[in-house]
Amino acid sequence: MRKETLVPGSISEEELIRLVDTYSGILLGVCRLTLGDTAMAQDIVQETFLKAWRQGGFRQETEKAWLIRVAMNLCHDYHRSRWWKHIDRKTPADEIQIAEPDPAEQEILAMVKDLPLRERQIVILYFWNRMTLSDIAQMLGVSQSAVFRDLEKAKKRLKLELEGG
Amino acid sequence: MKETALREALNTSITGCRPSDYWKNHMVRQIVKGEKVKTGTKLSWNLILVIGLLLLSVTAYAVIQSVTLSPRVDAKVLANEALYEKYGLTPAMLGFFAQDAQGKDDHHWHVDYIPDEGLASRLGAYRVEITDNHVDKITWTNEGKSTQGGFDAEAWGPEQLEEMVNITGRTHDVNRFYRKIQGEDVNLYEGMDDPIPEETIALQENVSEEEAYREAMREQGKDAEARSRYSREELIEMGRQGIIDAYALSQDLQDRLRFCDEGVLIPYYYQTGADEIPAFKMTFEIGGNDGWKAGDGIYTIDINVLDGTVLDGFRKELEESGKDSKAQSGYTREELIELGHRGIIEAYGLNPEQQERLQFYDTSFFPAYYSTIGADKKPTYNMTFQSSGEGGWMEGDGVYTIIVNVLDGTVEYLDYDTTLDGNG
Repeated sequence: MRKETLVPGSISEEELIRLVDTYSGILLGVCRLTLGDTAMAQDIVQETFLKAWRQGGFRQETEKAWLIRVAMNLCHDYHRSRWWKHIDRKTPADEIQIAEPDPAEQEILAMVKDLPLRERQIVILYFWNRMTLSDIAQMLGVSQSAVFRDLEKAKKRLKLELEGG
Repeated sequence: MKETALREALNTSITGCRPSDYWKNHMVRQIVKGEKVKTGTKLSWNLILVIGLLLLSVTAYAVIQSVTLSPRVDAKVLANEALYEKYGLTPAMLGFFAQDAQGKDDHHWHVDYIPDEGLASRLGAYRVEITDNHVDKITWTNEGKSTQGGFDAEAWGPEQLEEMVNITGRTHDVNRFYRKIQGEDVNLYEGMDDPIPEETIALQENVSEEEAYREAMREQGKDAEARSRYSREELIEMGRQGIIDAYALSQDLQDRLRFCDEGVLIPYYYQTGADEIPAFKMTFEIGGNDGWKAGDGIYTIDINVLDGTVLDGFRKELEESGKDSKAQSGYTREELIELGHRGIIEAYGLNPEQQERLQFYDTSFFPAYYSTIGADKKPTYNMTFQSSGEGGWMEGDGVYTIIVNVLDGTVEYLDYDTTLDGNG
């Protein structure tokens, strides 16, 4: 059983450390998969935690949902600005360890990375984070019809077979 | 590609990212000390198109109606639709107005569209008055004034608004319209030949795509209704019987099955599939004020309006893949729902008020279905319950998923996600 708890009010430095320790890995993973750029993913994760620190706590979302929402929307903003694609930035090898997927998974991830940004985000939120369509719509600030349509398009592109469970 | 393979690949990629302690500590130090965190350049958005996109998003909820909106958002959705019907005003055009909904109570609303002061003399203001989800009256303060003559006209209606969207999208400059209204001799089309900013293209594509989708859905709906061989009443009766048959509802549940025709649960015509089958989607509800009972919940059903058959491809696929589990089940469907309901209450310690708000869902977005779980493929029934209600978000509100073993009734899986307050 899992129940997410709300964290009302301001956050302390200890709380920030706990959030960074708990979520920086998956946020990095989500942003890196969304953008295909590790260095930019690091920047976005930093900015996400900066917002958490400035926000002073979470209101009606779980901390995980809030962090992912902010990170996803920052990914969307950065993707549209395009400027970062022209900058050659490398991540020092000692900053992040990245587990290599096996060849079959690499093939799948390559297909995911070929999806348009919004479809990629929805695939991550729907299949990995197991969110409902209405929650995804609220998280990304788009209409549910847009989420539904993009998910269907992504499924077709990925040639996803429907499973019963 | 199998769904499980996709999930596993995504999980490997996302959870396989491990930042070093050095990097984490460095980030925390920067944040706490208020040092500048290295970030990318922020995008400056075209505010008008963004407003238009937001308006469109609100309206688009009416197309796929599986989200319960507040009365305020209902009124805004209806008002947007009404202005489109009467004047041809699209969400992009309405981006030049601030939208404000005021209600005397949940039944009577007026929605105002007010432009900025410097544009008000030409754009005028619109008001849509709504009673019980029906539009009573639409007014425009510039009604009767001439809109002929382009931007020299005394009133700027849909034609001028469309041109304003076009010009602003290309030039990012609204000020030229203010100057025009103030009497300056200004070339409104200056800079139109410059390259379109990339972010504007992306936004325009987004708005255009949404508008096109919305318009297509609207036309589909009209076409589906025109082709229907059954009256609305006949379709509703077919829907009712379809749900009774699909779920083998007891007489008690049948008596409590209520057709929904209000807010975002109103039925609608649409077309589906490669063959563009015209269909009618309906929602029924079972539930009352006498406490939750097994079977209470929201049910949707789609009927082919040409031959009266039930359309539910997604559910049929789920049923096909879960038929073995269903055959092995030692419980009726109602007993499984009761187990699910009780399982959630016990696991999360819901108090009586929270229990009252907990509702079983069986819709195309939250289907209940037979399946299996685990490497040993235990047969299960997967259910979704949603907790929400009047008074806005409460502790305990959210979406609960519970999977029950159909052989011995044990709970195999539980999940709970909070949802945002849906009030606008």
